[in-house]
Amino acid sequence: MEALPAARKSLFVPEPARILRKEKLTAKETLFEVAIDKRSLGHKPCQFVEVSIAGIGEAPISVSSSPTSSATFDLCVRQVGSLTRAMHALEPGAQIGIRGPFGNGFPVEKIADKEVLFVCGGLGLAPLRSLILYCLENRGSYRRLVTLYGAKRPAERLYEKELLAWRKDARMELHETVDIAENGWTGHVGVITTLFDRIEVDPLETVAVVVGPPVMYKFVVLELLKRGIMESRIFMSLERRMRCGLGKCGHCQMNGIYVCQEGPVFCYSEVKKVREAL
Amino acid sequence: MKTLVLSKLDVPAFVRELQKRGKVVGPRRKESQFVFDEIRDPEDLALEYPTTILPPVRHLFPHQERLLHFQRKDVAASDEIVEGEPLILLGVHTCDVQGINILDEVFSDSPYDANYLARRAQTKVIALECQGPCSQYNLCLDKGTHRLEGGYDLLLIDLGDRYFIFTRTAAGESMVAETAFLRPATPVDREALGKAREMQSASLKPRLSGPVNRLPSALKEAYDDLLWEAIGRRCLSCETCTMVCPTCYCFDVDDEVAFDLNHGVRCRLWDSCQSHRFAEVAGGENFREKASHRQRHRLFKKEVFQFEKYGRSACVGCGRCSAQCVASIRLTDMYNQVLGG
Repeated sequence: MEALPAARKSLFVPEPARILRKEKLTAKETLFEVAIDKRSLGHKPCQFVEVSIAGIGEAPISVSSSPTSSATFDLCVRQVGSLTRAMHALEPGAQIGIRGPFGNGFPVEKIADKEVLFVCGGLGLAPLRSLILYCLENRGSYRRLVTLYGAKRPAERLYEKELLAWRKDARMELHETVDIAENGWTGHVGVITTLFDRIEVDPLETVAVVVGPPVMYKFVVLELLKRGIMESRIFMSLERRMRCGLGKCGHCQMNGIYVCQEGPVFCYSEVKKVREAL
Repeated sequence: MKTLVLSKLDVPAFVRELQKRGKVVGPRRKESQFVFDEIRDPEDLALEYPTTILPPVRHLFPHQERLLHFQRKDVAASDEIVEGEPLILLGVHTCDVQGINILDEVFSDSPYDANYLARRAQTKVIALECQGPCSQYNLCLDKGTHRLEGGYDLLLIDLGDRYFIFTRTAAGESMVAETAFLRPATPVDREALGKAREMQSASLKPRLSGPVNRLPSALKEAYDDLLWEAIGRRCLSCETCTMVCPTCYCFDVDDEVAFDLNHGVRCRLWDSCQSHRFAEVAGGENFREKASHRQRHRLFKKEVFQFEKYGRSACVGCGRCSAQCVASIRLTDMYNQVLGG
């Protein structure tokens, strides 16, 4: 026993944080601007936090804002389980608990001086937005920024106002699609891989970052490989239900990998042979 | 290291000595089986037992453990609960000691688990070497867990009318320092010890059809084997195999609110990779939807993933998962099948 480390403070205790602003993005998703009472979060793009409401429990939520922005951070929350339902009922001023940030975050140094292709489906825009905003803020460090975004329906598009602004923003190319055209949608219709025909990428200079529902990855990766993008330059955030964030509880385990600690961002070349990963 | 001898007649006195140092938890009879429970009356101690229903490590990682008190209206008032009390685990079979060693390694791996470590820091382990096989399913000889390199404070070996005692740690030395009924081991005792261990070696049989160190590679080769489908058809996903395992540590976290709805406790509870929803992710997709995948994951976690991370297996060969499987799925059979037996 002498060799074991001494017990330290429990890592399960959440820090008090406050909801500063609430903005309904879609019927199911709401953006919460949050601040921890005594410090700034200090996250990296694509990291997540455990959001806690006493009496309800905890849920892992991706941080959706750029790490360089301010003392506050954004959480884009889909109303899907008991915690997220309870969170949607909270108003600005309400208190929540935060643990984290957890996970490895995106290795931003690996995309410097490259053409960056963001491919995101549905709620995948929530974590990827933290990286997209970071790249826009540091636009001079990248040759080109291209975003492909696919949603199921027009009404399910997240950050609609921001998408409109990005569309006009010369710093980035944005291509959008929906699976089902409704409500007067005049844009592209089809699964996200159909957007690849709209862009030219330089395979030797491009880094792709993919975030979306599990079913999306294999099809998008096929497209990327078909266009000659190297396996080591395809990054993806693999979401699992991360309960403790500490690499112990086992829920997010993907073979021998604890996604909450070693992920959620992985390089395709690392995980292509990991069963249960994709 | 000291070598001492304890007469079996003095075991109750020894237990009473230990009780002065903390809560003594040891094997006692429960109906036709045995459990690790608090020994208040030394007469309840049943050191000659085959194995217990649950491993003793469950006293360090309890089924339900409180993590924090919360006030529903004030997160800042959340107060961590890190519990522990002076605890002596007495008569722990060597395979179960190895189970504790494995959880020590997992929970002290960064980031530390303060809750486990607080209990562990106050726990002393008195190990007991088995004299022979405890069931037809134990794999301790194959796994090398019938003898120990460490992880205990004292080690007892049954010599018939007395126990031979090795001290291993300063805490172990202290536990036997002022006990008048213990005497130093003599050459006669040492000879008896040698004989006891010879008899133990002769009575334990290997159960695996191939070398145990081939298991990680053999399992990997068998990843897509039809074996898993066959097991999946029988497995009821009742989770018993993981609940009785000395090295399973997956958990879930749940809030319990008090009747006044103003405060409560956040708890962690044992969870099982064998439950259907365990690997479900947001959106409802499930990466281990079939029982066959979950059973494969269980074995891979024991023999492949932990081997790759820590350089050792996480199966101590206690045989509980086999003995208590309601669908008669036997670990030995699965291992032998992948080893080509």
